[in-house]
Amino acid sequence: MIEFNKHTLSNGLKVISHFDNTSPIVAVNLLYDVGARDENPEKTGFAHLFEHLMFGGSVNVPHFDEELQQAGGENNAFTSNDITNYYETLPLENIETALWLESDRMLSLAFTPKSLEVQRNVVVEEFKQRYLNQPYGDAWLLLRPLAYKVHPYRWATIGKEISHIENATMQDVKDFFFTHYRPNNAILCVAGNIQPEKVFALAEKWFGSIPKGEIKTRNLLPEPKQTKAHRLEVERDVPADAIYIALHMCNRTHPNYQAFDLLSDVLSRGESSRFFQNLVKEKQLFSEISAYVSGDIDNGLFIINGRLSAGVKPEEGEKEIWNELQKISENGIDANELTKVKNKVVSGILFSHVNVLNKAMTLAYSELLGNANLINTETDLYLTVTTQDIQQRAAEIFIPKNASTLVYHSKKA
Amino acid sequence: MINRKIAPPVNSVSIPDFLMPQKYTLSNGANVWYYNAPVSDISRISVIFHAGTIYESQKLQAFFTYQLLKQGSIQKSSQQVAELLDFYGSYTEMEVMKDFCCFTIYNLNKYAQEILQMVAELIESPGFYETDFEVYRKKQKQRFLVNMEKVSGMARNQFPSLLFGKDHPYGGETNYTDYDAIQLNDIKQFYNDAIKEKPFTVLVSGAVNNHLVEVIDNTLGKIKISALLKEISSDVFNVSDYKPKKNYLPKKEALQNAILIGVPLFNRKHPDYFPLMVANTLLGGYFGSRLMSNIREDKGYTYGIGSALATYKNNGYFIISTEVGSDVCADALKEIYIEIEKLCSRKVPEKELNVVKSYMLGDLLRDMDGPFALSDRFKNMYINNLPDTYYPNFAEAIKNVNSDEILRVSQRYLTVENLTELVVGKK
Repeated sequence: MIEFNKHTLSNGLKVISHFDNTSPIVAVNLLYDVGARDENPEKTGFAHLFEHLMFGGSVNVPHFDEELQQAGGENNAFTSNDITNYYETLPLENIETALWLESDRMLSLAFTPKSLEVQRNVVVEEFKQRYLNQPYGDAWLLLRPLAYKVHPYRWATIGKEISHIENATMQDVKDFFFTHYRPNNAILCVAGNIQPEKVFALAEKWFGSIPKGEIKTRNLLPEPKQTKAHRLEVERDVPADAIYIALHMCNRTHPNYQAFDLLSDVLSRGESSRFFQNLVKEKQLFSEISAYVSGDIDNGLFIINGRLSAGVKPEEGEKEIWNELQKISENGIDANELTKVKNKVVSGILFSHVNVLNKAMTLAYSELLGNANLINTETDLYLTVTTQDIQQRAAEIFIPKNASTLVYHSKKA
Repeated sequence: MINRKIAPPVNSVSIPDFLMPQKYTLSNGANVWYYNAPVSDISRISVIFHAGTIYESQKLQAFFTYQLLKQGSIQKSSQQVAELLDFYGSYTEMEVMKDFCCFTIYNLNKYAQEILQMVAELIESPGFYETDFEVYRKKQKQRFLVNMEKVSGMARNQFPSLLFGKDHPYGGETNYTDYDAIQLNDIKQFYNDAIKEKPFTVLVSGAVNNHLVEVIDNTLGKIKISALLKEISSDVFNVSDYKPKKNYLPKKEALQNAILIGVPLFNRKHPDYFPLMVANTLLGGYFGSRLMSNIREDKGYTYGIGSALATYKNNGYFIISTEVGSDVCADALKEIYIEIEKLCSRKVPEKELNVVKSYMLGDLLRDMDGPFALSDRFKNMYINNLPDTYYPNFAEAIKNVNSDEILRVSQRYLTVENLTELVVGKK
C-alpha cells in the first residue's frame, strides 16, 4: 500500500505527497497534461521540442541545470503522445531548489532565440539518432499513420518529418507555452522523507502565485472504426525481414484495459509464453517476437512485432501469428495460464515501488488517469480478469480488418 | 512575495553513514551479503560467479555458457524452467562481465523456496540442451547483425581492441563467424573449468527475514563447492605497449557518425582514480559537463555526448562517446579536442568545480535510494575488490580535491596525443 495525500492549490495545481523515510533522496515529479496529440498536424514534434526548450532558462533563472547540480540534483524529462513529464532527484535538504526551478519555468520561460536555434538542431540529431540511423528505427513513423487516419496518434512524438521541427518559430513556442504550461494543467508529486503539510506549504510558497490559465477542453476527433485491413511493405537495409501488426483496442482507463494487457502477456511475456514456445522455439520462424499494448489515454493499439529467422518468408510468419491469435479467440486460455500472467504482473508492480522516483512518477500519472490511488487499486483490476474476458477481448480485436500490418523486407536477404 | 531571482539557500550535501550490508555464511561456505528493508515481501538475489569473459579460451564462450545455464537443468527442461519462473512471478537477469558474472533473480518471498531450488539446480547441473543452444545462437546472430547496422554498435565492437589489443583479455572484437564457431562442447567445457563447484558469492536485498535466510541456505547453500578458480596472472593485463591510434570505419549512407575517443588507464584502487573521476565528470560525466555544454547545448551537433572512467578488476579506461550529424563530424571532433586541451592546460574555475562536487555528492546519495540501489553499490565494491572505506574516502576526496590536482591528473592521463580515436560513419 502506497500512502499519499492530495491537495489542490487555488490556481488549480494538483499536489500529491508521498512520505518515505527510507531514502536520503527526494523525488519531485511535475507532469503536464500535454503531449503530441495536442499538436497542430502541420507543426508536429512540437510538444517534444518544447520539452527541450524548458531547459533553456526561465524568466528569473538563466541556467536551470547548473542551479540544480549545485544543489546535488539531477533531472530529466520525457514526452509521449499524451503527456510531458519532468523530474528531479536531489538531497532532501535542497528540495526548495527543485521547486524554485520548476515553478519559475512554469511562471514563464526566457524564450531566448539561441535556445530555440540550438534545440532545433539537437532534436534533429535526436530524430536521426533514434529514428533514421537505426535498423527498424522508422517503424513507428510508418506504423502510426498506417493505423490512425484521423486521430493525432497518427504521428510520433518526434514529429512527422524533420522540417516541422526545423520550421518552428518563437511565436509557436510562446503560444504553446501559455496554452498548455499552466498550473491548472499540471500535477506535482513529491516523494521522500518529508511530511505532506510541509510539501503542501512549499508548493503554495513556490507555485501558489502563478496565475491559472485558460485550458481549452481537449476536443480530438476519435479514430473511426477501422473497416478494412491496412498494409505497407517496405524495403530497407536491415539484416532480417520483420513484421509489425497493430490492432485497435480500448484506452488506458477503459475497464477492459487490464484484460488486453494480460492477453499480450499470454502471447509473449517470458519464455514460457505462447509466441516464444511455439514460434521461436518449436517452429523457429522468428528469432524474436513480442506483443504489448501501447497504453495510450485515447484508444490505443495492441502491437505484435517479430523479426523473422533467416530464410523464413514474411507471409509464413504472418500466417502463424494469426494462427496463434485465432487459437485464443476460438479456444480461450486455461486458468493456469491466466494465473501465471497475473502473478507476473503483480510481482512487476511490487518491484516498481522500491524507489522514490518511480513512485512519484506513477502517482502523478495515476492522478492524470483519474485517481492517484490507481497505484494501489490497479493490482486488483488485474486480478479480477477472467479467462472469459481474455477470450472475448481476443475475439474482439484479432480480426484482419482491424489490423494494420507493416512488413520490412531486407535488401540483403 | 518571494524573490525568484535569488536561489533558495543550498545546503552542502551531507552524506549519511555508508551502511555496509550484513553478512552470513552458508553451509557450503559461500558468503551472503544482505540489506534488509521495509518493503513488501519481495527480494532480489544475485549470485556472483568469479569467472567472467577473461576466462574464455574462445570468443563468446562465457556469454553463451551463462545465458544457457539459466535456461534448463538436468532436472528441468527449459520450458519447465520458464514456466516455473513465470508462474511464480520471478524475473531473472544474467550480466556477463569481463571479470565476473552476476545472475540476478527477482522473487516474491512466498515462492522463494521453489525458485531458489530451481536456481540451485541450474547452477549445479545445467542441462545445456542442443535445441536451446541453437535457438539462442540464432537469436544472438541476428542481434549481432542488427547491432552492426548501427554506427554505435560497430564502434563499440572495435574500440576495446584499439585500446587494449586484439589478444588482450579486455580487448578483442566479435565477428559474425564467432557465432558459427562456438559449439555446445565449448560451453560445457567453460562450465566445467570455471563454474562447476567453484566458489560464488550471494547478494540479497529487499525484505530479508528468517524464512528467506533459511531458504537460501537450503538451496544455494547446498550447492557443492570443492575447488578454487584458477587465478589469472596479472601480467596478462599489462598494456605498457599501448600506442594511440586513429581509425575510421566507413558506413555508407550514415546520417550520423559515431565517435569514440579514449585511453587505457587503471582500476579504482589507483591513487589518481578519485581526482581523475572528478576531472572526467567535469569534462563529460553529467548534463552540465563541458562536452555537453559545448557540443550539444551550444553547437547542437548531437543529441548527447558523455565521458566515463570504466574500470575492471585489473585496469580500466577513459572514454568519450557520441553520435553526431555526419555533416558536422569534423567540427564536432575539433570542439571535443578543444575541450580536452582546455582541461589539460587551464585550472578549473572554483565556481564550476563546486557545481561538479555538489553534483557528485548528490550522485552518491542517489546510489542509496532504496535497498536495490544500496546492494548495487556494494556489488560495485565487491567486484572491484574495494575496501569498506572506499565510499567514505571517495566522498572525502570529492570534497577536498582542488583545481591544481585536477589539472595535474588531466595532464598526466588525458592529453590529446595520448588518446585513441575511432570514427564510424560517412566522411
